[in-house]
Amino acid sequence: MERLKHLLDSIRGNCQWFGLRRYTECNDYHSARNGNCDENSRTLDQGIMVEVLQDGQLAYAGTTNLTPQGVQAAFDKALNLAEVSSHYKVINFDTSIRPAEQGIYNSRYEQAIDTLSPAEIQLRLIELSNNLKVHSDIAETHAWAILTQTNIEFVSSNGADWQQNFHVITRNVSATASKNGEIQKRSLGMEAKQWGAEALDLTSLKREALKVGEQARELLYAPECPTDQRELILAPDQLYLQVHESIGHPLELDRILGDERNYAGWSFINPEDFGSLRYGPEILNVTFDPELPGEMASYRYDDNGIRAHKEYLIKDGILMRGIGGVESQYRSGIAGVSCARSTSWNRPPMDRMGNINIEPGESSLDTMIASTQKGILMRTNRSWSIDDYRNKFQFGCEYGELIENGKITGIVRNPNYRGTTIDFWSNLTMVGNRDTFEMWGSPFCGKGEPNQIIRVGHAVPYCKFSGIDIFGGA
Amino acid sequence: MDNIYDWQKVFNESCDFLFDQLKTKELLICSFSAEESDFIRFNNSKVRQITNVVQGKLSLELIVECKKLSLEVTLNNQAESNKLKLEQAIQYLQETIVDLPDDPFIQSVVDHGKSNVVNQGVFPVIPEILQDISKLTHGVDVAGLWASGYCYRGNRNSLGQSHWFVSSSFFFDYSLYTTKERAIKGNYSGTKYLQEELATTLEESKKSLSIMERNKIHLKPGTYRCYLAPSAVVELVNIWSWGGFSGAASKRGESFISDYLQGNLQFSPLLSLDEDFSLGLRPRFNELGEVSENLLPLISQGKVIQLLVSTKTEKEFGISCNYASSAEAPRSPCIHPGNMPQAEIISRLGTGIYISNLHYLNWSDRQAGRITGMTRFGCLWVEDGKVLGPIQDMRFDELIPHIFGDGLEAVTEFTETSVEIDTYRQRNIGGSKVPGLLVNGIEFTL
Repeated sequence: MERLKHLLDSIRGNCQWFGLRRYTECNDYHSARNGNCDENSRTLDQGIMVEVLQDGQLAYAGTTNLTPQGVQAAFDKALNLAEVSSHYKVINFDTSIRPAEQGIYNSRYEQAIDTLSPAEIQLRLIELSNNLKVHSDIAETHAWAILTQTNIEFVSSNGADWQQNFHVITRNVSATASKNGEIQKRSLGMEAKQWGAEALDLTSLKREALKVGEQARELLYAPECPTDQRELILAPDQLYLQVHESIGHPLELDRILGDERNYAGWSFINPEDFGSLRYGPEILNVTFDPELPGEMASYRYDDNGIRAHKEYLIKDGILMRGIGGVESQYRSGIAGVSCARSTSWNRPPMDRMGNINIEPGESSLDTMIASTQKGILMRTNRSWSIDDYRNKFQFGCEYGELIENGKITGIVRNPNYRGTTIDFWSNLTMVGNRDTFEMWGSPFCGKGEPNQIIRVGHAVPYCKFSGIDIFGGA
Repeated sequence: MDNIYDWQKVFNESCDFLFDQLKTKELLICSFSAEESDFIRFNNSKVRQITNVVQGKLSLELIVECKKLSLEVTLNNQAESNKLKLEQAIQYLQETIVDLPDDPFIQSVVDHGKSNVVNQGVFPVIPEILQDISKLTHGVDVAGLWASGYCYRGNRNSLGQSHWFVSSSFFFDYSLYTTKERAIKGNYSGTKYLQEELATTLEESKKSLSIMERNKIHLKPGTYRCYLAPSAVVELVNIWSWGGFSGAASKRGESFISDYLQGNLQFSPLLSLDEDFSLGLRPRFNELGEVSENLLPLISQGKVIQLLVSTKTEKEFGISCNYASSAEAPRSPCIHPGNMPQAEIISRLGTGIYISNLHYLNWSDRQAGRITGMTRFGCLWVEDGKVLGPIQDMRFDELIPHIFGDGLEAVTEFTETSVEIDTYRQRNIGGSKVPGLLVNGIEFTL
């Protein structure tokens, strides 16, 4: 394969600045159902995005033709687009938004992904799907994994030269129990992290699969979740999505600037809220942390080529900083983070979440439960929805545990809750300690026009909230 | 804009090369997609980002008796580099498939014939469209996306099947904003661009925007009569399509529709819903090259006629397939019109909510068919047959069986065609045609 720097040097043409981002990714998907082989597929994606700054306007051309001629054609196209659209530009950018970083980042893993053959992975998944069938009430079992290896290289006309290599695995197992018309599904949740083949270690996964199967059956015979107002403890496999939807998205500066208004939406946050808006009590501390090893969206450089560091977004409950890359910071004057990323070579970077985490507090899970008079603990997301300003939300979970007088008293099915963002976070009463802190994430965050999905990470502890409206199924 | 590559040649040369590499008992299905697209992202009626994408992708599915394995690679117009990739790809498939376990529900590979459909569109070059949109949105705050160009789909297999589909089209999906941050949604799309049509569409949006300047009405949670405009109905059909018409999901107990298929329950007799490829926005062949009937009635006068069933589901559950895609979701859904004239919508709604658009829908209880979501863009409060003003957006949580069943009062005599604006991974193709619906009560919770 042609060295990217050689391709850069071969480009002929004049502009303020230009860069090449080569994106190479291998995605393997394996799935087993009911003890049978279901699917094995591989996607090899490779292309180059040429980014040109001319007359203060950025423009992009993506191509799968990686020859010098192909990249030159893409450069010519991008330069032309920058020139013809510069008269209509949102803002006049200069070269300060593209520093010349150099370096390399490799995500952490214990065992390389390619040490496992497709057949070996498939056989493990078949075994797991058999393990899930703990009883004749289990009607359907499913075990799947996505194994991702990504290489991003970036060079630019002003000397940037860096690359990043990621090993990511997303895995899940689920069991569907069915009896007398009642159907309940329980899963491991979709675990997505930067890790290697160790993520598919059978010893621990088999234990988890048995538990998932047993809990699916438990839910069949459990009563419906009550409808009332009570204290709510959220496990990390639900809380991560709550953070994603009601803290991550509204803090994105491109949403606040209006770029997303026609698609994902705007934000209830205004530019003047930074530095003053109380998002929650003092125990709420939220960070952008690209430096946590193993978390789904850890990296050293964003796709604008800016070095990424940990920053507090919400400090002691006060909104401090937005989720906005260098372009949004340039446009808004609001402090941001290095978070401009693209889904692949064929889309331009935009503000994305990265790792958005709640810093651990001081409470153990036992303390949280013991201090709850009338409450419920909800685990594992199954439904989510929030409005375009990120205010009114509703979430559903797979598994609920009622708490009465400081003790878990029973399981309920179809647990849901709803609320509005600032009210909800203002009712945060306890934040779990480091023992309760877990890394979760998703490979499927959608946003942008043209549309992009991106990998995001959320490491969070258990948290407790007061006075939350909960309800059951239909 | 003229197309750059001869993608049909790239596709055919790739398939010919791959079929030549096959050994005894090996069968290969090749599914192709490509695009040459321009995207212009607008904010405040100015250009935020502008992007050109040229990409081709070929998915190879190798089948050897009861084993199968697939691999997707990117292609371009360079025969040599394509050949090198394809050589490595077929070698990987041939070497890897040997050790895989059997798939007990593997589909048979058959020759589903040949087809060639080319829909040639007309749209302006980028400088012209920039000039038109800039001129026509002067003085208004517009956010949105312009997309135009060529989309290609192809499918061949080693038994001789061959399908080719080209669509060259455009869309401008946008929203207009008042100074009070209230919005109206609009869309101009098609295959033949006319500046006058864009001007008319934008002018209508601007007129609609004026009502959004009125004071916002805050409604309490509760049950309200609703009129759902076609753009809101499309969102309902989209969420319903996520497992709700799937034969496999029904068999796995993951869908509320099983009871309807068995005839125990029915939707409103006002509801008839088809998979109708005569809409012409999407090819009839699926990713395996299997060709669906041009018209598949799914619901007729409230009665569920059939679900969407893939050949894999047929094999697994023993129900007849209708050559659905692997997702078993409608690819070209059309709801029949009714008899409510457009002029009577407001008066027949009486007192209730005029819902122009919905946002972020999701199942809140799949087995019961309950969904939740938000109102968005230009939703209005109507009282005694008069429009009073925009509402503060509300969250609803309601049963699909109610909205399309006992709650359905009337269906408009007109339908609207909406072109697919999904651009995840690539510019996607397709669309739907639906009417507006008058519903006697939808529960709003927040």
